[in-house]
Formats: sequence, structure tokens, C-alpha cells
Amino acid sequence: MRKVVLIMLLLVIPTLLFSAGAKEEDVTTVTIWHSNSGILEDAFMSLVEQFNESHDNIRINAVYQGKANDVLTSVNAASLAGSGLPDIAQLDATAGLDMMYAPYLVTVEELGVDTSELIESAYAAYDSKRGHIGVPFNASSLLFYYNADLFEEAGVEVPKTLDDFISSAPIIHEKTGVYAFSGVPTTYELITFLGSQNGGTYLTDNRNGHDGVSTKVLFDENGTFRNFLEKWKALYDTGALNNLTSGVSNAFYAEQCASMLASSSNLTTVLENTDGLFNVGVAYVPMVDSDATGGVNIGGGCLAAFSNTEEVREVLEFMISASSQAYWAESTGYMPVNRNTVESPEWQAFIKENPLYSVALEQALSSSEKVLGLWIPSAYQVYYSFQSTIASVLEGEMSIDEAVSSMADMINTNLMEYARQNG
Amino acid sequence: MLKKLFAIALAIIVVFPLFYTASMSLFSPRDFNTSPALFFPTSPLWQNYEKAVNHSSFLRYTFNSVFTATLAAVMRTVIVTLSSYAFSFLSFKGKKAILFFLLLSAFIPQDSLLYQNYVTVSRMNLINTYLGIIITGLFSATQLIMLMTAMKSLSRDSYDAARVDGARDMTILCSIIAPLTKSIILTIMLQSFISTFNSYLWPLLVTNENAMRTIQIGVSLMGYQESGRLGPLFATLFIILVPFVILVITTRKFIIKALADGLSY
Repeated sequence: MRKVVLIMLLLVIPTLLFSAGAKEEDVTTVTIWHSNSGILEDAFMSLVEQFNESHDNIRINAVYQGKANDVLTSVNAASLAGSGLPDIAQLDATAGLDMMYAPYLVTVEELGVDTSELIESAYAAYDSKRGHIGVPFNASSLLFYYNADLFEEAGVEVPKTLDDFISSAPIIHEKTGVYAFSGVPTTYELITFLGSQNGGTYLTDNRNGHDGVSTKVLFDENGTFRNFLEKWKALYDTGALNNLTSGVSNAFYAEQCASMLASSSNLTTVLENTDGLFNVGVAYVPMVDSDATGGVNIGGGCLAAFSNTEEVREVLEFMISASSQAYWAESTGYMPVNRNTVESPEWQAFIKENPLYSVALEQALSSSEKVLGLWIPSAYQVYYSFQSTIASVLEGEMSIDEAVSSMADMINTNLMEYARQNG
Repeated sequence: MLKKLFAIALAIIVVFPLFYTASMSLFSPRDFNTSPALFFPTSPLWQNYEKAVNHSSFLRYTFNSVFTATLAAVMRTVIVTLSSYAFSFLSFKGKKAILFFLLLSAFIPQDSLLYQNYVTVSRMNLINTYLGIIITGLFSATQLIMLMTAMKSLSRDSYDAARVDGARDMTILCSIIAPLTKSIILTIMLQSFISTFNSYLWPLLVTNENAMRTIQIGVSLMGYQESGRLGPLFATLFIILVPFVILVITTRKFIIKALADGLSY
């Protein structure tokens, strides 16, 4: 037993030796918790390096904190502990509600960040009743990816509406032998499918939760969800739609389906994975019908500040500057959020060589500001519930009316529960 | 014969994921996207292993995982063994109440304690320390029940005889009780190693320095999945599997004995 105790002591002692690092004099460290992995991490760390090399008095300490929801979990935990919050965190729309009421958040206005060069719609995505919760950094939108070879073989055009797709999908299926489309929409796709209807529509009141916690959903009474489900069911009934909830990209690469919906930030990955296999095309997301002219919302993520210092402001301004955004967008496939990047000769030359990279930005710029990210409680549960409810409708387990009321009830209950818990 | 066939079928089910992970670790990007799916790589791509191992922090992440898992396994086993002994053989005030509260912890989902545990660990200044990574997993009520059941099934005569001979508790535990329940103790150690090695969210939460990250977070950071580079991802996963395979192979006779003994308890 003595041996065991000795071994335990030997094991425990070094554990206590690792704690917070030393502070260099005259250099202020700005810690950023980010969610970039793989090629995104490479690009992000390059930006960090560029900043650190060009600033003697500020050093960015970039810490990978998992995926966007993990970053939010860590931020919430640190805020509860009352210490350990980073200076900046990279968050996505699912953090919107938490951030709007977070006492530790420093809004962009409070920090005094120069946002004059930002693309308005990208900046508006983080607008709340309190001010902007962050500056857009990794902006993306939904895109329609298609196998150009299969579309050509079938002799069909890229669909502009779901009605078009209902007509062309069976032709693709019949002539090429593969599914015309794979995937089941989640909240991400529904913000576009529902939000774009009638020129731009909110899914919940209080401007999708940006003007305060939503009190109820709107998609049931305004008929947008029903309208979408009717079209989507008609598409499924052609037999050309495959209800895949995971592995959609792999099905697309393996030419098991001719098209899919995915974030514009996946473009580089899609092109890498299909290189030499077939020609990829990207297009605007097909709208539910011809009245659905609202377009898409700008998603992705923002950089939210938790320290009100000059150094933090400087880091944020660097990250949204024209040159940083050009580097970031060209390396990753995200859309640049700086107007000057878009107008710069370098970006124009890049787009000329890589025309597919311009589609998402053009689509986003022509979209209504009403098509906004949804800031609701329990966002991740809702995300998967939408998917399972739609799958149930398609597979005949639920009627369209039942699906609309089931989703509305679920989200309304979450909203009521949230209001009750938070006074 | 039927038993044998059943055992073979079971073995195939258990071994197949291991085999397929090994096979996919040598797939080229194109091999992943063929239809129907391939069992073997068209031509083994050893560069996947190069990519996995050459990642700047791979060794550090692996060391952190193996170290914290070993530390947690040893500490948890000692704590569970000592407490099982105390609850099985000793009499003290409030024994039933303490046991009740300890066992109650088995019914509390760990996720619901996430934030409160973080607050506690943060106040103890254990953020970014190995102890911070393992501290919430140093006790397991389920394992306490396992070991207590085993200890209580032993004849009390040998304990009483040792007591009469003037043996102290530590001597009785180390010389008599622990050797008789070593299969269970070893299984507990193995379980603890695996659960600590596999944990993701808690180590992510309590560490925010690259040098303190474990391999589970490292796999996500390497971002092979998002980039569609599945070959290096599976190569990394296969490398991670190696310590487990070694551990199971070297301790398999104890595990089998523990399972067999478990049936008789």
C-alpha cells in the first residue's frame, strides 16, 4: 500500500506544477477562444501570427475551444465561475440569445470598433436590442451545390424554385440513376426556406429574437412552414429526394446524389474532395415559390468581446480589416465581410480565377435583412427537431398540420419556459 | 457447436470496427467516396499516418491523455478500494447515511453538474492542471457497488481471524482482501482509464492552453473531419486505439476472471 501511496504522490505532484503562464511586461495579451479547426485553424493562426508580428505591445493568444457550441459552453462556465473569461470569443447565432443578456458582453458600440467598412447585412446579423453583440468574422450563407455533369447529362437547368425542382428532379433521377437531392432541412435551411417567403418573413416575433426574447413563433399563423412542407413533400413524392440526415457531403462526392444544400464555407472542402471526379456548380438556394424573394441569411460566426480595452478593439479591427478578410476568405471559402475587400483588385482577380466563390456573396448581398438568424433558447434541440419532424412528414408518420403545430408547440413551450426561468 | 458459432459471430461484431478503422486509416480520399463502400484501400496510403503523427501537438496531446487516464485510473481505484473496504468490513457512525449519499451520486447525470463542477474547480485554481482534468472522476458510485458486492461475498472469517491476530486494516486489505478481489479491482482500473481517456467536454472546459489539451480534443482540432480528410482522421483514431488494445490484451485473463467471478457474486 505504501508503494501505491508513493506512486500516487509522484503522479499528483506534477499535476500541480502546471498552472497559468507568466505575464510579459509591457505586452498586453488578448486571449481569443475560437472554433476553427483544420484548414480554418491554419488560416486563423496565420492571421494571429500576422497581427503578433506587426504589434510590439499586443500579443494574441488564440485558444481552440472546440466547436461553436463548445465555445459557448466554455464561456457560460467561465462567466458562472466569475473568472477565466477570454477577451474575445468566436460565437455563432446559437449564442445570440445568451449574449444579448450577458452582463459581461461588451457591445461593438461600447467598444467603439470602427465598423464603417463592414458590409451592412453581415453586420446586421449581430444586431440586437442592446447593440451589436459582435463583429462578423467568418460569414457564410446557404448555397445550392450541384454536380454540373449530372445536371448536364439530365439536360435540366439549376432550379430557381422548389416548383422548378419538383419538375426537374424526376428527370435527373430517371436519366442519371441517382437521387436529385440528399438531405433533410434543419433550422439552418429553414431560416432561408421560411424566412425568404413573401419578400422576407420572421420565424418568431421580436425580429427572430434580435429585439428581445421571442414570445411566440410566427411560422404557424403566417403559413410559411405549411407552404414549405407542401412543396418539400411534393419533391419527396417524386422519388428523387433522399432523406439523408448525415453523410450528405459524402453521398454528393460519391455521386449518389446530384445536389445538396450546405454552407458556403464548405466550398473549399467540396472542391478539394471532388477534384478530378466531376464538375461542381454552386447556385442560389431554390426558393419555395416565386413570391419568396427574401433570399438567405448571413450565418457563420462573429467575434464577441468581453473586455473593454483599446487592445481588444485593435484586434477586432484587424480581424475585420480589408486585408485580413481577403486572406481569410481566400483561404477558407468564407465570405469577406469588409466592403473594401470586395472592391479590391486582389479580390476581383481571385474571383475571376475562382468564380464559384462569388456566388454566396452575391446571393447574400441581394437578400432581405428580414431573413435573420434565429435567436431562441434550446437552439440545438430545435435544430434536430425540425429535421425529425420533416422526415416524419415525408415518411407519412405525421400530417403537415400536425407537423406545423408540433414544431410551433415545441418552440413556444421552450420560449415560455425560458421566460419563466429568466423572469 | 451453436455456442461456438455464436461466439465467432460475437467476436466478428466486436472486432469489425477495429479492423475497419485500421483499413480506413489507409484509404485515399477517393476510397471514402466510392459506392458501394470498400472494405480495403485500393492502394494503402501510409501518408495518412505521417500526417497524423506530424501534427505539431500530436505527441503532447497523446501524452496528456495517457498521463491523465493513468493518474485517474490509479487514484480512482485506490479511493474505490479503500471506501469499499470501509463500507464492507468496518463499523462507524453514520455509515449507512454516508453510503446512501455516495450511492445517490450514481443517479445524478454528470452533464447536469458541468457548470457547478467548473465553478468549484476554477475556485480551487485547478484550471489548466492535470488534477483539474481528472478531479471530477476520482470517485464512481457504480464501481463502489461493484467492489463492495465482491468484498461482501467473501467469508468474514478470514477478516475476523486476521483481526484476532492483531492485523491492522491496511494489512488485511493489502494481504487478504485485495488479492481475493484483484480481478474486480483491475477491471475498475481499466474502466477508469478508458472513461478518462475518452472524455471530451470536461477536459475541453477546464483547459485553455494548447499544451494541456488531450487527444480527444486534438482530434477535433486537427479538423480532418470538416476538411473531408478522413484518412488522417482514421489513422489518428487507430493510433489512439493502440493503448486500449495493449491494455485489454495484457489484462484479458483478469477481465475474464472478473466477469466469471461477477456471475457468482
